[in-house]
Amino acid sequence: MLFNSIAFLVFFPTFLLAYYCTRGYTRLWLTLLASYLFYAWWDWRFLPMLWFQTGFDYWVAKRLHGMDDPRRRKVLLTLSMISNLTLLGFFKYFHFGVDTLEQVLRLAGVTLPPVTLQIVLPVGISFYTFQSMSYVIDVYRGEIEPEPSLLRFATAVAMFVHLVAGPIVRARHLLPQLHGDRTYDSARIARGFEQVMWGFFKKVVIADSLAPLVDVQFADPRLHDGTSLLLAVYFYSAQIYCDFSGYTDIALGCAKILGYDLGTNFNRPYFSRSFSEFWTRWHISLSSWLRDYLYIPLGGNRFGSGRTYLNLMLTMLIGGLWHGANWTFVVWGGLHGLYLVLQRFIGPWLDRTTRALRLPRTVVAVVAMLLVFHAVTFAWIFFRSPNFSIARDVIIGIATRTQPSFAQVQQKFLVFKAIGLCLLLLVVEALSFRNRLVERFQVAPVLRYANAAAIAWGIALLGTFSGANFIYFQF
Amino acid sequence: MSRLPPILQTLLAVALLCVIVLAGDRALAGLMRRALPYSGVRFSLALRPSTERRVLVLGNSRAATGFNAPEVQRRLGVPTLNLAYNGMSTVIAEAMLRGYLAHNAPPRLLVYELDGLQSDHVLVNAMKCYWDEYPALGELAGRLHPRSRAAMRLFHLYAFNGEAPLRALYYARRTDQNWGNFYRISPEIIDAARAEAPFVIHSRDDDLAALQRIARLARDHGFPLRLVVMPYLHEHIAHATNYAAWVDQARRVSGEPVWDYGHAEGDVTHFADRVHLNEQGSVPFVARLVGDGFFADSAAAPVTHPLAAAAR
Repeated sequence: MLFNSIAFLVFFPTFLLAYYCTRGYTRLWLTLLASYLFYAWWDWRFLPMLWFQTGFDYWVAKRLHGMDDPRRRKVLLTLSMISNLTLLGFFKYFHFGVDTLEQVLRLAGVTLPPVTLQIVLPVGISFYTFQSMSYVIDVYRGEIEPEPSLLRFATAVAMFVHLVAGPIVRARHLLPQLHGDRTYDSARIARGFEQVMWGFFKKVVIADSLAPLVDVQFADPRLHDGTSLLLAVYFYSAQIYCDFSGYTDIALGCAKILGYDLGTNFNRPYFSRSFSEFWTRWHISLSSWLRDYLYIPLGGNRFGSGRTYLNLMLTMLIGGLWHGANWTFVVWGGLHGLYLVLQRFIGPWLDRTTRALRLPRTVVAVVAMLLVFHAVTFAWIFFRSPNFSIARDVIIGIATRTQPSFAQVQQKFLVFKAIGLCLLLLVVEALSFRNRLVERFQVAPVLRYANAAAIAWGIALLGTFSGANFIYFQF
Repeated sequence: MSRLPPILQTLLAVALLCVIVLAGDRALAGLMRRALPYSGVRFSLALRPSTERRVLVLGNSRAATGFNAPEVQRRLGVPTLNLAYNGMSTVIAEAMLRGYLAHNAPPRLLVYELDGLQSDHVLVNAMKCYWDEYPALGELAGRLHPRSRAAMRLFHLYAFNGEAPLRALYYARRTDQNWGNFYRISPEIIDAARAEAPFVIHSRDDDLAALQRIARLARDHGFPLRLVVMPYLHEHIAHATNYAAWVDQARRVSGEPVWDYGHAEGDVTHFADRVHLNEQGSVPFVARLVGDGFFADSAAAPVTHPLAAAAR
């Protein structure tokens, strides 16, 4: 079920009514069954896999607790990791692996027989696998106690608000909230409702308005002028941000309405002044997961510069691969790894230089933001391109066919609308740094109603109601 | 309100928000609807009652950007209105013509560019704000987009969601009749056109039926109809395997001759892409039409029309 579908508009209020009419275990059961229904709406055949992963990790965590033998503990942990990663690997990376192997062998003059296995990627598998894995690892490390109730653990894994496209909610964060009933709080519900509305605005109005302009340029970049391609790349930066953060806002807002706090997943990432800051603002639940369960176990920055650079690169390459089974995602991750390495390498020298030049802080901050934004936007070219030749054509087109004139740009009206929406986003995000203004909006009832009404009118006037999928569904 | 139970407070707040949203929606949509006919965009221009007998152009983007209305007006000295629009199918063109005839004197000459015979009717949904103004368009929309119709009843602002209202806003204080493509086809597109696979031009049955009705409408109202095929990039159209049959089909269905310029432009610098002339191409194209006597009937004596009689 998509958040931006009629089905969800019926599902959520109905569920909400039932949710606040029930208590205790009945409410947990209701949440769990509703979550499975939400998932089955897409394809019920993958439910048993979700049940298996939930049940197996629940059992492993229970066995780990109180087990003293380190070798047996390690075996159990390895079993859990293998089961999770095998399922993820098979459904997500089977064809990728076979294709890559085929290409490598072809270079060596060996031809493999064609593999005609039709594999459907279960939606949300990357998200719930990571959630489940982090639970087992946390129990193994002794950071949390295993959850005694399977019902509660299953609800934490499958809760519909985060099941299919995140955020990746750690069990240690959500499970305590499932103990005891969430009380009805009008103020929190109002905040959740506002967040849901803003999420819808970002998805339906901004992201879906930009999507066709981006799609047409990336379909065959050779047929378009450089200015249009450049605009498409900028638009994609805004599209993917609004698409994913819009989804997250709807998810977090719905969770708030139900009484849960799932944390923050995006925090105005395009205002970052460094690449490391970017990764503390973009898809925070994934970047913190990679930090805690990959980068730090690899050694983090504890073994000298060379090892730190290697760990950064490895973490970002795997982060790239997590997004999809394609080498373009690996290059995207690699670019971000390279950015982080470069920042560590030349960052101190840059700091000293700017201090020596006595440049105003604001100027330095703005230049840094622009630099980070453009580097991130460049990396999005690989993320968006289905293959390297498209990415190459986009880059060559921008480098060789860009003119200062706007004349060649087609669909000018949609382009103007898109530019207007991007500017609106920029203003709203910039204003949200002014805490006093935000507080006034949160306190004054007139402003709150005006804000909600304006968003509703904006959606009616400018929304694109194509029922388009969220980009992160494919991951 | 603070003495009420929290759930009731929430329900009241939601109800109040709904009232604000719906009231504002009606007020804003009402304002926009009143402003719409004053825009200089073509669909609004055609809504202003006029006794002027114009040369009227209908068709899709090929006619919208390639049929230079100011140039026609300058050369012939007769008012010209280009009502063609990107993606306009023949079915939509018929609906627009009916709306035009309801507000205006019949045209001196109706020009219809035939590429719209291949178009589907997606454009209808982008023109929601004109559904009430062009009843035939509204009727068509009712059949094709019942959900949008229902959504418009709930949210009146939804009628102004789409490209047409944005254009109406942009052309609030100027005319849109000087549209054109101000760029030139790239060598990459020409190369891609050369490498194209053979293709078939397929007219839709409903568009052909609409063409037949347009021809009948022209005969009934006593204005001449010119069917034309504007130039295509030669490298592209050379791959159409049934081009002559496609043109002939339009001629047979409508009972009108077709002025076929599909292969008439050999200069690639006159194109914006495979199917659209650019500004550099549209001006000489009009000159050529004038020279060929394409507009010969446009200087005919005016026919009596109720609107013209009322104005006198």
